[in-house]
Amino acid sequence: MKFPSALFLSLILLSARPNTHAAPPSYFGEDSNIIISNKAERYSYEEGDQAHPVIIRQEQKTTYYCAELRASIPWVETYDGQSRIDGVKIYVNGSRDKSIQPKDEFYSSGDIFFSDQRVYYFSLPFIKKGTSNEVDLEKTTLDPRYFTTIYFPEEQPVRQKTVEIAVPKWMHIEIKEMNFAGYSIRKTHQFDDRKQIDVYTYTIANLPSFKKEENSPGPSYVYPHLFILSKFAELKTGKQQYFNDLKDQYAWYRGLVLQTNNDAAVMKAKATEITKGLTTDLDKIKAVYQWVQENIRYIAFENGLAGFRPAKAQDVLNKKYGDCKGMANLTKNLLAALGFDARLCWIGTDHIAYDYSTPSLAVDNHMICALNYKGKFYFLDATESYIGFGQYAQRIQGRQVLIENGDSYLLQRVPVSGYEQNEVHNQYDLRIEGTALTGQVSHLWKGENKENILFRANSVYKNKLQEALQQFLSRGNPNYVMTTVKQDGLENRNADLSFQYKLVYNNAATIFDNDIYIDPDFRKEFGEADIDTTSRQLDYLFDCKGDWITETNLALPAGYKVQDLPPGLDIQRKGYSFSISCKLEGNVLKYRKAIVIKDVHLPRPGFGQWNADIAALKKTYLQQVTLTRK
Amino acid sequence: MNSHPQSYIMKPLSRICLLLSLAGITCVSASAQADSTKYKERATAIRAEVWAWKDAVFANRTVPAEHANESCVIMGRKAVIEADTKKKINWALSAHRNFYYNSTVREMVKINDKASLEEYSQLSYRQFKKLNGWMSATSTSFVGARIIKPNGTIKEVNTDEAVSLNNGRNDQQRKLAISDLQVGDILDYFVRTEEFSEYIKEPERLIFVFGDDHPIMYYYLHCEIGSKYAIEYRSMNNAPDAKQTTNEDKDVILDIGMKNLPAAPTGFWMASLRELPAFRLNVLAGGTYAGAGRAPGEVVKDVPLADIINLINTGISYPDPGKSAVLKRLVVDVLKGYDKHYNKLPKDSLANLIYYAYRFVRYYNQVDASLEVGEDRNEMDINNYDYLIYLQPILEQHKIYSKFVVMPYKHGPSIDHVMGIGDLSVMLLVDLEKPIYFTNNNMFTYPGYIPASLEGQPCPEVRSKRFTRNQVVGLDQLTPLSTARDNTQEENLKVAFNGTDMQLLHVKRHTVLTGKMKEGEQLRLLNFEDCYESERNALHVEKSIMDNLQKARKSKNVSEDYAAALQKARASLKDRFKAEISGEFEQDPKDVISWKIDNPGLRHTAPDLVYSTEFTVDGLIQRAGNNFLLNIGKVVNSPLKLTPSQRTRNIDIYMSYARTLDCTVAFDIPQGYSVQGVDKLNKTLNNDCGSVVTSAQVQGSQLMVHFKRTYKHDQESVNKWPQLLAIIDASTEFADQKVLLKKG
Repeated sequence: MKFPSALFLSLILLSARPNTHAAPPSYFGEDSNIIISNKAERYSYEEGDQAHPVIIRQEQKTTYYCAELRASIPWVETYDGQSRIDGVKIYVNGSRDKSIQPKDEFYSSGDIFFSDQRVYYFSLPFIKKGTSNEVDLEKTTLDPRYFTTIYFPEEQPVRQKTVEIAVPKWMHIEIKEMNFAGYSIRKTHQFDDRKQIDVYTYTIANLPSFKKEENSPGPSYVYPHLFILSKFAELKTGKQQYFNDLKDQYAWYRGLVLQTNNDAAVMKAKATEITKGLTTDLDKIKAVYQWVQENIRYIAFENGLAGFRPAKAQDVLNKKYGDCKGMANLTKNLLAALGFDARLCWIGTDHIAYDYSTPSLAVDNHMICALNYKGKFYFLDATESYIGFGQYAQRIQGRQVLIENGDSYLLQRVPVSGYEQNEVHNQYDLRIEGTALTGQVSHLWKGENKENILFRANSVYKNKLQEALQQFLSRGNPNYVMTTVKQDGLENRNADLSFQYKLVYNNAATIFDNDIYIDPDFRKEFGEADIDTTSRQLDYLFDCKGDWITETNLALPAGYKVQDLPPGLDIQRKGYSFSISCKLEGNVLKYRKAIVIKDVHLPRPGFGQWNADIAALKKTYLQQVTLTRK
Repeated sequence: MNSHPQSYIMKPLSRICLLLSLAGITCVSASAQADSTKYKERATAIRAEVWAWKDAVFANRTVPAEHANESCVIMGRKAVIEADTKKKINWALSAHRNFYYNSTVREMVKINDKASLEEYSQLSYRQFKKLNGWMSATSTSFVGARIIKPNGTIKEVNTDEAVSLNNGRNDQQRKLAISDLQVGDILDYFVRTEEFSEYIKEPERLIFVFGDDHPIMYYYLHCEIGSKYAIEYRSMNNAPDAKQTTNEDKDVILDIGMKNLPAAPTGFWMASLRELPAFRLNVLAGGTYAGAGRAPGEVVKDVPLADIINLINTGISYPDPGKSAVLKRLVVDVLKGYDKHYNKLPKDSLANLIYYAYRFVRYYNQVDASLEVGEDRNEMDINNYDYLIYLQPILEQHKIYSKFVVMPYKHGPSIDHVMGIGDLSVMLLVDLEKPIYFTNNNMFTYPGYIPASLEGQPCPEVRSKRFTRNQVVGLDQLTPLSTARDNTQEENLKVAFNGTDMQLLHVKRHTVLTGKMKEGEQLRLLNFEDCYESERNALHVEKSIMDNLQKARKSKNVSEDYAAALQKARASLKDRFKAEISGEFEQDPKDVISWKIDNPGLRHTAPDLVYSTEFTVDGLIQRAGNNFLLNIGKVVNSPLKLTPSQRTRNIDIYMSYARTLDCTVAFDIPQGYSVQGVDKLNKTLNNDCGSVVTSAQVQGSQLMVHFKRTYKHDQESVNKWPQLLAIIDASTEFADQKVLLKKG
């Protein structure tokens, strides 16, 4: 931060205008400084040219109001090969400001290697409290297929907003009103008889801004918006078909896929090499899937039509990188080269609220490979680098999947896995030696929990891996000393991941006089998983379902008996359960904990119960076993 | 004057981007770069040239057995620096000189695992950049990459597959995915940057560090510098001397190489620029072109410190007279407002008063365009030289005399290895009965404060009357070095159960941070408005910023904005204190009940940062039937957590400063309970590096625990590591200590 070296007033005393705006309503909460006092958006379907028979013109005027203190906000609009920005006018405190020079750059994100999407942006300054700025935008979408949604919320709170959609009689669309419940959105419809245009107008007032929160549902689940289905146009030049039904969407996808010329001979050679020496179908299938997962780096490309067209399988093979389409296409072609019935399929991950009952480019965002084997479909998503065959990531479980089937298509759902798929099991067989706990320990990770560890392990330098694993298993506790560590599954996606070792856990037993105090649980999963309800606005999504089981068997030392045991815990909810028991069986103290996440979706109204349950869990975690000398 | 040299040590992330910085910058010609055809032709030629290098650096493709388990091994790295000039006549028939500066870095890396594969899988580079707007100066980069498969076959990566991140006229950035790269391959790649500039060539200040996160089998540097440039160079930290020769064009040739460099040691408590071998090179456009103080063709090995001090002397000799006059007037206005007879104050008091008035003018009585008054306001930065060269004449105006002294940074190149102004910081040594240093660390610096980064360093004089060329005065003087007692974190905690909740602790905490311990927390916790008002009151400044804003007709509305900004900043304090508590206790407090700065530590007369907090925290009490275990160790101490590999060490230890943690806990024993395990808390460890002294006793209804840990020095030699480790381990062991609260 640099400050002007001398007199501080010169920069900030430009022009003063009377405050003509009332203070914003209090519900805007923390982000109440810059608000949108009014926004008017109009979308008009119009006839275009031969290349783009139907276009959508967007005109919008946004008035911003500075309610508290001077500030600058980023103003951003995106466009790509299927749209263009026709003009932007900027008014600062009532005057056109041509000194603000917008920048126009390729969109850049850590997750995406290349995107043809461009960002048009500038910093919009508010010179003082009480001033208003306006930004006018004209933009054209060149293909109705790409005109899919209109969201009502903005980056700033909105006081008043209207969205107008002008649809000529020749254009056939469907407007779906999404997530309107709880919002006061007024809709009117007028027919302009002279122009033969239907005009749909939506008006909304007092709308909070978009919120970005970790582990939250995608915006299409949360925010009020219009989902636009452009079906077809009856132009003077003839009928222009868009996505009247799923058949149209599939045909469009299929047309792009057929433009990809895969080299069957190259695929055959590679598939043969990968499966050399393998005899069973399943071994061959797993080998191909694992080879793609292991050898092809995922790099995301989003590039216009190429964003929907897979790269050639042989190109992905040669380059050793590809996006989801490229990886799916390579998987499919390698399997097909071995004679399997493998197919491409389109899918929307759980980030998207829609399914294929509403044909639209907004329905899907991913491509995977489907294998039809002995009458059953298996789904292979090689972008999940470390998941096993027949296991599915949470993001695609239960999702509708559009499977290529020649000129027609199949519509299925990816199987939903139970929480057992992702089990974590910790087993401790221990005894007390002085103040140390010693014995044998085993850990087991399955499914997505295993995938997560494999991903992290492969991100660590090879020469640092053993130390990283040691730190992971001991949770960085130097008293937790492991020897004769055996691991299995770090190299194999299709096996569970396990560790077994001998443990000397120093200072784990606290001795006072005749009593020994022991904490029976070393990992305490979910102990800090309470949700800050003062700031959290959106539902919470766990990364995956799963069950976390810990069993500790502690042999009582000779001459000691149990004085106190932690009370049990048994919480059973629809989406999750926590149960803990601790009891003496013979001379062995048996502690068992099971935490089960059955449903990854924790709705906001359930946060209170969740927090109360986590508090109970934490309280139980803070209970010790007391042994006393007989 | 704060220009820091480019560091040429490689970092694990964005490795190829760093290689680009390694390559520096270069060029062909501006018009040529605009033409993609010419660019491609040039790129093709460069690739052919680089791949044709017949170098021992790249001859070996076999990883030695001792490095088989490394994530990757840099089989060879070679940097080539070329600089030349040409005399030109411009359109106005005026003669000038064009400067050409090329750098090429080629690296051959054996990829042994997926982590390194990912790291080397993409190459981002700035293909073209116009370096300034008003004269011709451009930088163009070219890349090449090829994969050497384990069977020896070589596959060239098609660089035309690079995608565009930015395609502006003056700035073009590209990204290339390295195709067909797999674990087990060798990636052989280079970045050439060619820079062209007309009239002026900015100095290149380069450091080549012979070390990396990964082993380097052979690292070689070759420089060919034209006779119109001046060169300064030196080897340091046991790097070999460069071999200096000339070619038939009278270019200066420098060659230096090192082999079999192991992976650089831990970054924990490490000063790379004092430990790792390195070669430093300054390439300067000599003569009148860049004012680098060197004649064209001048080659200086091991730059004398006197030369650098000469440059500094020149730099500080010409402050802006207008700015100087304004600052003098503003400071004198403050002084007169404080006391119209201020001149009659004793010299040392007057010197301090001038410092505070000057600090108020430059740091406090300012409003920037964004009205920043929150945590970021505390980070306001004024260049040291800029701050002190305008302070000195104000002192002189009041017959208080001072001299500039310069010193290296504690963790930067040592005084023997400085190569430019950026390697040195500056202070004023004020000539009083008891001489005092005036420094400028941030807006909270007061007279006599020595920033941690500048302690204990040789501090030769600048502009010494006794100074003659090649003679440095005052090299034997060191800046003061603080002791562990000077830098203390004193904690007083009153801890009790939170009402009836026997698993929630209620903590009233009083914290005193002295010396360097307060540097970080002042930046985090102090509220600008409070500091401003504190200083305004101390200096008796009648009108506040707000008064001035409200008075000025045009700024009336801005005063409302300013008030709103101050209010927002104050509202953020709870979160800032919460973060401080979380950092100390390694877990978030359940609730922060109150927070207060008792003394901001802005003045030498009250230098400590003192604050009070009250909060609740859980997780430190465990129930055992009717009894409770209190983890008293974690209440007082969050020790360093060393990884197993950090426990072995073969390099010296560089900490920030010596320091003491002195923590007293008074725990209210709940009625009906007694405490067991107190005796185990009485321990003493004292060695050359530090001490840990703990004691505990029950006094009435309170358990009193005292924990004192001292790190005696800021630096230790590697042979002291076991003793330092013992101090860390003792702290860790104490953190596990528990006492039993026994019912009945």
